[in-house]
Amino acid sequence: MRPDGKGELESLYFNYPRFSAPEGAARDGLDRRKTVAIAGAGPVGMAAALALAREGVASVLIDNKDTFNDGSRAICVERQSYYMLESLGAVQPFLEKSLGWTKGRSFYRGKQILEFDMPDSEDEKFRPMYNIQQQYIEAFLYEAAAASPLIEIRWQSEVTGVRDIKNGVEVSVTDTLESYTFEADWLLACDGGKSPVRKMRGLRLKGENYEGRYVIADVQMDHDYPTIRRALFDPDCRPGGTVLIHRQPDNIWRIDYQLHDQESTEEAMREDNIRAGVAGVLHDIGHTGPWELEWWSVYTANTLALDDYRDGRVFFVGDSAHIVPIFGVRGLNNGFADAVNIGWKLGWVLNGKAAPALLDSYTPERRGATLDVFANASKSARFMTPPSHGWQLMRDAALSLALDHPFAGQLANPRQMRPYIYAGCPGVSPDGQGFTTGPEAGKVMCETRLEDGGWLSDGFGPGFNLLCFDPALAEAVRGLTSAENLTVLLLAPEGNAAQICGANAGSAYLVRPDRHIAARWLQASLQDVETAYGSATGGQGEYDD
Amino acid sequence: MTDDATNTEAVYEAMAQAIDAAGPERTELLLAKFALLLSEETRDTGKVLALLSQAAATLSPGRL
Ligand SMILES: Cc1cc2nc3c(=O)[nH]c(=O)nc-3n(C[C@H](O)[C@H](O)[C@H](O)COP(=O)(O)OP(=O)(O)OC[C@H]3O[C@@H](n4cnc5c(N)ncnc54)[C@H](O)[C@@H]3O)c2cc1C
Repeated sequence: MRPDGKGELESLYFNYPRFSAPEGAARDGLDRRKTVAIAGAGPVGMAAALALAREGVASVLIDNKDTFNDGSRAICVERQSYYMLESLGAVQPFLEKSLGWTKGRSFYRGKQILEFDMPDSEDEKFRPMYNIQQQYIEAFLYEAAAASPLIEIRWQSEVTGVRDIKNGVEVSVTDTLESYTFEADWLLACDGGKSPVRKMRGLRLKGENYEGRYVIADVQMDHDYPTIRRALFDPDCRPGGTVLIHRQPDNIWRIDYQLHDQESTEEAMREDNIRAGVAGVLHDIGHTGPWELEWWSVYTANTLALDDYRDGRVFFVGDSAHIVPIFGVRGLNNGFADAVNIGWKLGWVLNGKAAPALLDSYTPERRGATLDVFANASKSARFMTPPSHGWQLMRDAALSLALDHPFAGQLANPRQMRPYIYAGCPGVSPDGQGFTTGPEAGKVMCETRLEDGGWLSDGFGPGFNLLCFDPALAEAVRGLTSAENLTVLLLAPEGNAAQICGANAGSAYLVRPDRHIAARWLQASLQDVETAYGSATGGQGEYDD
Repeated sequence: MTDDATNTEAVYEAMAQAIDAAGPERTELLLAKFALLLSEETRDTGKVLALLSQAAATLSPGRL
């Protein structure tokens, strides 16, 4: 919602573009068969299109709106998402616009009880978290998508039906001029939390809804405070409640506050109540200058997911597959990881570089990640909005203790950075034996600075990467397949990379296109690498293309 | 070394006094904080959880 007198998209800092449905010559061939259709050009749909384009696969995005999503919504983008944006060729504008941060502070009744630092060091290329409004996220992804000859976007075009046909689906679309159908080999449903495609397929999200309701309001003001996440427990302005404050670019500040049980959502959403709520928070944090209201909304904390992210030729990606509580800031970050996961897998299968069985690993990996988010986010949600007397009592006890006992303050740590480990998933080999350190199989590959000052990840090729320390193994693996499929990085056995990998001269790490480790060996052989690469590409037997 | 029984008795008496001082409204909070502090001091999660179960097991009416 925006203040009275403002247009629906009249922002203090962002100009919403207006896109029309395909016109003129662009209408020729609307009904032509496509390899991949994507329902929804939100951030996840656009990321999926870019991930497919990276594999040389063309797609068409269909979205019923004429512009980007309204309001800033998801604002915290984590380190791993920046790696994904980098691989999609879109990270540069994000780096220029966003505000990187590492720190959070929690306060109880006005007194600081916790300051936490997320993992960061000189050996990290990206900060653990960046704040940026969702409009910018979508605008930057759109710029990258619009620049790709492999991506077509149809705005003001609504997906109204999906029907199974031989080796694909028939998609029905209604735009501003007509209704038409076209066929596609695959459909990615990136059509958001309310996912009409999900309903068309007769599928339902399952899980829990939490009690807590939060107002999110964005205000513009000159406020002198670094980009640090602030959580206020039981503050003067909201006795018994919780408030979150985040800095965003363009002098925009995100204020989240919890509604009391007796406050109705309708009442809380009224502009005068929002203004009073925000004014109370600003008073508590000592802001005395002027401020302008930009946008506000209400959300609840849910942990809902589909049992299976695949239904025949349809894959559910992003919010259409799962709704996660906001406190973990995983909504969009998780969606990006889905998009990149299905993007490379579908791309590799379509290019004949992987067997179709690879697609079966999408649900266990990404649904597993969602369930992990649920477990963590549910912890956060219970701390932020205790659902019952017992949770409330223990939360209050922890906060009260934290005033003079730092250990209790740690219970208020939101633990927002925990990339999921794809261990035990098909295609990820059991972790190599004998390692005493280094990231295990299934984990995201870590970063380090090499001796020449460059980043380890800068040497990665577009497909799989083998990190190895033995010239003979490197040479042998190079003979297996093209460098485009599998790049071999020969690294110094005593160097920084070997150190963080816990590697010796005979060790090797096989890293997938999404930077997750497919396998690692303390003592690797050509046969080991061959087998693991085969299983990580869906169990196909040969590599010559 | 202190005698165990005497030790427990001292805690027993101090808790009775602290609970009275806190008043019924804040007794729960006091006990919850106290439990968290003891748990942090003990540094043995398994033992603390077992003790919690023991305490909870005999709360039902008719048993003591
Ligand atoms: C009000 C609000 C506040 C939020 N705040 C936060 C936050 O603070 N932090 C956070 O992490 N996350 C937040 N989220 C969640 C975050 O915005 C989502 O996780 C993210 O947008 C998911 O991206 P998506 O592309 O999967 O879905 P969406 O962004 O919902 O995109 C789906 C797209 O599909 C289109 N579409 C839908 N149906 C059709 C159809 N039939 N045909 C064609 N197109 C269709 C929609 O128009 C939309 O463009 C918020 C969400 C909302 C709604």
